Amino acid sequence: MGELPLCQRMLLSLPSSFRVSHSYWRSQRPLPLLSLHLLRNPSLTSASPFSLLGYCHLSSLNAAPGVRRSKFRAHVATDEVRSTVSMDTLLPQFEAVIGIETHVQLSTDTKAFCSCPSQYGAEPNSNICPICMGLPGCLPVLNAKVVEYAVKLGLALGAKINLDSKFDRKQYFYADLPKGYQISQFDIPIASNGSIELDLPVELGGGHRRFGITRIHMEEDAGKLVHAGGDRLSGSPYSQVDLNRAGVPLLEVVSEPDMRTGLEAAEYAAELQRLVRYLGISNGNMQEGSMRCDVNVSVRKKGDEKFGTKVEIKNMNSFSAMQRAIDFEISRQVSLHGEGQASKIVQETRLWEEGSQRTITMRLKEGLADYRYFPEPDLPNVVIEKAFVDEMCSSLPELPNEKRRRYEGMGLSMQDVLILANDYDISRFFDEVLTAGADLKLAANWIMGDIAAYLKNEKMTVNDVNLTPEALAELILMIQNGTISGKIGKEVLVDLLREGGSAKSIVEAKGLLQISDPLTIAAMVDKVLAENPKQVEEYKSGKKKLQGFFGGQLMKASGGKINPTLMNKILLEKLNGN
Amino acid sequence: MHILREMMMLREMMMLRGSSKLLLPIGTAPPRHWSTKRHMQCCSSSSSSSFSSPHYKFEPSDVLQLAEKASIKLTPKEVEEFQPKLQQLIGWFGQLQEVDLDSVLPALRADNLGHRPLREDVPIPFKDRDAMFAAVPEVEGPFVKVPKILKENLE
Ligand SMILES: [Zn+2]
Repeated sequence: MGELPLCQRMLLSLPSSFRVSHSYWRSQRPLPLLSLHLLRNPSLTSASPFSLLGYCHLSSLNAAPGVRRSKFRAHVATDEVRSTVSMDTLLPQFEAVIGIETHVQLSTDTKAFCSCPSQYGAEPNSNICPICMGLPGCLPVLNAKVVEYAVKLGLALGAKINLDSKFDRKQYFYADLPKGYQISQFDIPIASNGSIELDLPVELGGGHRRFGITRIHMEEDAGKLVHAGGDRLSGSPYSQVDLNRAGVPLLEVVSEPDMRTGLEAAEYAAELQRLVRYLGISNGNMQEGSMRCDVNVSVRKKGDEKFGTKVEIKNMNSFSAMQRAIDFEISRQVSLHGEGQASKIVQETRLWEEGSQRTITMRLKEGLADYRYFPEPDLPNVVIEKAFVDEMCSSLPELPNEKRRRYEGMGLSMQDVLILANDYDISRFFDEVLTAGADLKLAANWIMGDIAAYLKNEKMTVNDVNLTPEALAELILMIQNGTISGKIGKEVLVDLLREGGSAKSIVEAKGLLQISDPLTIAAMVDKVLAENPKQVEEYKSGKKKLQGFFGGQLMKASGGKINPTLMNKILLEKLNGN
Repeated sequence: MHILREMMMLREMMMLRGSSKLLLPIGTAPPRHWSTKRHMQCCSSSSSSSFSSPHYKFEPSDVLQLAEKASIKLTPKEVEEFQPKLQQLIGWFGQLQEVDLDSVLPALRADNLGHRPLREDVPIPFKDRDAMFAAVPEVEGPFVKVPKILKENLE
C-alpha cells in the first residue's frame, strides 16, 4: 500500500488549470499511475513477453558499419562451409517471400495527441505533458497535420482512403510508453490497398517492380530507453527513459509479401523514403530512426503455394544492411532446408548484427502476441470529408515514379533518370534549369558531375548553395555558344555555387570571356612561337607531339580563355605553313 | 487487498471480455473486421468468448492468467481473494448481456465525443512540466529511472 500516497501526490501535483473533464474518462484511465508504480516496483513486474517498439533501443546496439565487414566473410565461410558448397544448387530451387512493416516518423511540429513540441534532439524529458505522460483525466486531441500527412501518403501509394477510421489501444507494458498502451489503428486503418512502383538500379540488372501495400495507419511512437544497450554490458539493473519521443506521430506502412530478394526489399524501403521526402511528411532518416523497417522473411520451394515459417528481422539501420540481413536470412533458411532441418526454422524475431553480419535470435514468438486491441474511448472516429481528400490529392507534388517516367520519356538514360529523380530537391533544381532553357543532356551532366561532387565535398544540399537554376542554364548556354570555354565554365560554376549571381556578370567581372577573335589568337600564337624557337625547330624536324606543348603555353598565356578549337586551327596553320 | 493490483486485474478483465462484446449491444454484429495477412488478434476472440456466459465458473487458473496479462505476480492468498470478486464481476456482465438492445444502434464507444475538431499543429509547451516531472517516482538526471527493461528480449 506504500504506493498509494504517491498516487495522490501525483494527482495533487497536477496543475490547477488541468481539468478532469468527465468521470467516464477518469474511470477509463487508472492505468498510467498503475503502470508507473509497476515500473517502480520490480517485484510486481513479471517477465515481459514482448516489445513491439523495441526498435528504438536496438539501434543503439549497432557496431560501426563496415568496420568489421571483412571479418564476417571469414565467419560465414567457416560457419557454413558445408552449406555453401551446395548453396549454388540449392538457392535456385527456393523462393523467398518478404513483407515489410515500416514506421515513418512524421515531421509535424507537435506530437500526435498533445501540443508538446516534437523536435528531435531536445533536452531529455523536456517535451512532456500530462497527455503524453499518460496521467489520469486528460483527453488526447488528434493533430490535424497527422491526418493530412496520412492522407497524402495514402494517396501517393494509390490506397483507398477510409473516410471514417478509428483509433484503438494496443496493450504495451513498457516504461517508454507510460500509458500502458499505444494509441494505434487496428481494424479500420486510415488507408488500405495501395501499391508502390520502383525501378531497380541499372547496374544490378534493372527492372520495374510493383509491390502491394496492405495498409497505412496512424499511431504514436514510444519514448527512448537511453541505457538499454549499455545495460547489456554494464549489468545495471536500471534503464533511463526519455519521453520526448513518446506520442510523436508515426505512420505504419504494411506491405504485401510481394518481395523476393534482399535487393527488392531494400529498394522498396528506398522508394518509400523517397516518397515521404517528396511529400515533405518525414525526413525518412534511417540512422536517426525516423524510418524503421521490420522485415518478415520466409522461404518455400519454387512452385509451392504455401508460405514457409516466417521470421521477423529487426535492427537494420540502412538500406544496404536491410539487403544483407535479408539475403543472409534467406541463405540461412534455405541451407536448413538443404540439411533436412527445416523444422529448425521457427517463428521468431531475429536481430541483424552489423558487426558479425548475421541475424541472431532475439526472442521466440510463442503463439501470437496478445495485444488485446480495444477501441480508444478518448478519441472520436477520424471522419474525413471527400473534399479534403480531393484537396490533398491536388496538392500532391509530382511523385518519384511519375518523375522517372517523365525523364525517361525525355530521352535520359535510366541510370541518369534514377540519379536525378532520387532526390526531390535535385530533381526540382534540374527541372528549373530545363525551364530556364538549358540543354537536357548538358544540364543533367553538370548536375550529376561537378555540382554533385561539390555538394558531396562540402556536405551541402542543393538548397544550401547560392547557385540558381537560371544561372546554371545561362552558364551552360555560354559554353555552348563559345562565349567561355568548358574549363572556364567549371571555375565560374564554383563562384556561382559560393557567391551566386549571374554567370554573365562573373565572366565579365573577371574578364573570362573566351578569346575567339582569329586575329588576336594569331598574334598570341606568333608570340609563343617566337618565344620558343628551339621547340619550333624540333617540331619542324618531325617531333609533332610538341603541338601539345604550344597549346599548353597558349592556354597558360591566355589564362585558359583562348578558344581551343580556333587556337589549334591557327597554331597548326602557323606551324605547318611557315 | 492491494488496491493497485485490483485495478490492474479489473482492467485486464475488461480486455479479456473483448471490446466489441463489451461495448456493443448484444445481438449486433461486431464492427467491420479488418482482414489482414499480419498476425493480428482481436481481443474479442478465443479467451473472451469463454467468459461471456454469466454462469462461467471462474477458476484460480483464470486468475493467474489475468495476472500474467496484467504483468503482476499474485500470492496464492491473493489468488484466493480475487477469485470470488472476479466471479461476481462476471455475474454483472451477465446481467448486462440480458438488456434488450434491439432498438439501439450499434456503437463502438460511448458516443458523447461529438465532432471534436482536430488540433492545429502548433506547439504549446506544457507550463507545469517541472511540477509534473517532480512527481515522477524516481529520476536520474533528466531521465526517468526505471527497472531494467527488455532484458529478456535483448539477452
Ligand atoms: Zn505531451
